[in-house]
Amino acid sequence: MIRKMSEKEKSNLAVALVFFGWAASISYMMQRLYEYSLNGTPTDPNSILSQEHISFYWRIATAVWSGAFVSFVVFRWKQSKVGAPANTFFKITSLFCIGLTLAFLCIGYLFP
Amino acid sequence: MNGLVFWESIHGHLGTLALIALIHPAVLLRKGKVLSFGKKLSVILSTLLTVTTFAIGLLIYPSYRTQVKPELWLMSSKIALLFETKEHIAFFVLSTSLSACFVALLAPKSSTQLRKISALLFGCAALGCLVVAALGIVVSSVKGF
Repeated sequence: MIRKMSEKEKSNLAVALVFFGWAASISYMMQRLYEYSLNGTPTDPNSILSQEHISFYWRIATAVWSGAFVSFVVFRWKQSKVGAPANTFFKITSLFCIGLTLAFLCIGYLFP
Repeated sequence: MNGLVFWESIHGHLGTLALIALIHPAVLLRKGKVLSFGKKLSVILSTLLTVTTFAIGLLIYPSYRTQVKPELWLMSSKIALLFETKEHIAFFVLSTSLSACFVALLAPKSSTQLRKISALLFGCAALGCLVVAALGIVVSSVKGF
């Protein structure tokens, strides 16, 4: 039987899902930077064809998994706490959203 | 016209539409008011459009990788690198818009701040989508299927 979620659970899940977007993006960025540190800028077209698997798919799958895992951990952590999220949480969240967007755009360009 | 050209074209058109669609919930949610049925529909449809565009991109990617990418590299390595940048930012748009959609739908009636955060996330996704659309136009003007 499906139980209806309480307001507190909904709120906590919503906060946890903010972390899904962040964690998935950061995980993707970290994986790309790691690949970049190993291989550098790709220059040889033949190396693209000789790749045995498509790393882009794996990067996405790992990033989504990381995002889901982090949001699950945040949800469990929020459930164990009492009270609504503090005002400062929203201020920090807003700043982090803008910062992450700019960081992703810059890193995406600098480390293609 | 072969199938890949068709899907590449659909991918491009939906991507441009997704840019406009993502701005809509960002504007609707900016004051953090409770979502009506119409607003919920806007949030869901704009996210679905983004997911569909990304999914089509994923489906044509293996063929693109073997048929177009090597030639694109030979024509212009700068443009080929811009394609890589486009790929990365597209994933950011996907994850951010998914996150924004779920936050908007799950936020309780009393939590206006969560809906404001959702609006911000949609805004960030729209900014990313603008960059992706611009890069897509640049890359496809050089080489496509």
